[in-house]
Amino acid sequence: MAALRGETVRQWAREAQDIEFAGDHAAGIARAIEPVAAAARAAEKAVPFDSEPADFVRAQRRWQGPAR
Amino acid sequence: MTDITELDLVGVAAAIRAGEISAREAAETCLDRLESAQPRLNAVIRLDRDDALKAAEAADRARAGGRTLGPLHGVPLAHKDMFYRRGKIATCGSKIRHDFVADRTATVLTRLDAAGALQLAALNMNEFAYGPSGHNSHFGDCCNPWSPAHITGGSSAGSGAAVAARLVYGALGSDTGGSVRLPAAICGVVGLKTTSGRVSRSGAMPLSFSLDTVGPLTRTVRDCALLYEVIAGPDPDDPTTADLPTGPPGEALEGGVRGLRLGVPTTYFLDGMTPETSRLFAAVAEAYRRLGADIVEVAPPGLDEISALATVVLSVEASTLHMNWYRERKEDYSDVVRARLELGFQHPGTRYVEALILRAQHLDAFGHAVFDHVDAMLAPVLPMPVPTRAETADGGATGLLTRCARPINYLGLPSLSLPAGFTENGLPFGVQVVGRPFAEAELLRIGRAYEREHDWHQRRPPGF
Repeated sequence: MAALRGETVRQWAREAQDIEFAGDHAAGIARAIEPVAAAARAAEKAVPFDSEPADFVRAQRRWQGPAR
Repeated sequence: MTDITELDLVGVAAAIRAGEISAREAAETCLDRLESAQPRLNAVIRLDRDDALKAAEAADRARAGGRTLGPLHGVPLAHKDMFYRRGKIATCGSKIRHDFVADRTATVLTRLDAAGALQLAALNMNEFAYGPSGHNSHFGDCCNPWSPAHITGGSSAGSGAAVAARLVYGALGSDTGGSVRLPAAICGVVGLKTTSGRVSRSGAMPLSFSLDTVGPLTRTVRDCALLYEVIAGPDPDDPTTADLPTGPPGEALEGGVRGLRLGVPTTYFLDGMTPETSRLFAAVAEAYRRLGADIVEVAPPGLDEISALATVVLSVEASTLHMNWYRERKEDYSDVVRARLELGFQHPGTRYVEALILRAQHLDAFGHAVFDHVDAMLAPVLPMPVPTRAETADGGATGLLTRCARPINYLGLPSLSLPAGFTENGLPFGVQVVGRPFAEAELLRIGRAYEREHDWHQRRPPGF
């Protein structure tokens, strides 16, 4: 699944943006990104259905200062 | 009159207000210092001598007429070369924007102008603010006043170097993954990474619109508080700013820390520290204990994941913003920045949105682990001693340089970087105080309590 997703992204990068990453360069980029991608993949399972990026602003308000 | 470079920002503002020195004298002193330090530090991209002296003379005329322009009347400042000023070039540390003339003025500069401040120069920075070291292959590396062989930290490199070397009394920087706190810590000055939504970014070059923040670098905490008060607050030109009070300034700054609970992390932030930096960090916690704070261990969870998600958000947003230039002028980027942009093209859209959605969950988890127990958390800014420019020239060590800073941007929290000693290589060591969202005033109070008992901010780099 991860490999398929990576391949899809590279294809998207090539076709949609005309950005070429060829041969060793593409492999180097894939290696460089893998640790971050792996950690991010591990987080995916935590995404709830009823959620959106604006939840962050609500969370900010829940935790806003001042200190006691 | 004593040497005015011995004064901090608050002190020089008072001296100008009292007529002990003129704004022109202060400006000329700083302009001369910016110029003479340039061969050694390379902190300046553009010196605005004529405009600065005209503004200084206007400030002096106003004072002679009985008018004070504001709390920063005649105070010499300079800023990272990414804050737009109408009619001026903002290079953003890049070749691509070497002739970009801004058609508007950043809100933060407008507010500093209205408070009476002078802008003397545009300062060196990492190319497009995309790097934590202070290297710049287009304008030359910015050098640390404590040791030119060592990095200044970035990306607000010139801001850290210029304030530490007492070339100006304060400077603005931006912090997307540590870019205010790193140069502050590494150059031995104070830096405030503001809460996401606290300070307008209108007219500031974007790197990552979800993580970018603007904040001041100064010699002292009380200087930092003064600049913060001027620039903070809602701005109709930046709809992401929050309409919230900026907190109690003035006397509250001297309120001390007795009765406050300060957290010391047992996870993540202390990894990568050396025995030497661990001792310095422990000494800060002990100093706060002596000042009357309770020191409590906290264990914020998920920080490796947070760090990765921060990288996803930053790199995807930066690559999106740079996509057209990447297509058309790829060769005009430095190798290091070009490589970073290429990584950002590799993440799927779903991963980026996931990373944004998960910010709320991670902030809640961090809040329960930290703010349910303490008022603020102490952490190192840089876990290890400051590396040399040569050691970090190829973009290496970026992960470790930003390790302790980057998660705070993802969580959107404020963090105050304080000078907290020196390592054996003679370079400064910095500690950050991380607070609840919009708790900048409390962080400044906590920082001021430490500053009153220590003299790190009074040390001068050799030769400056």
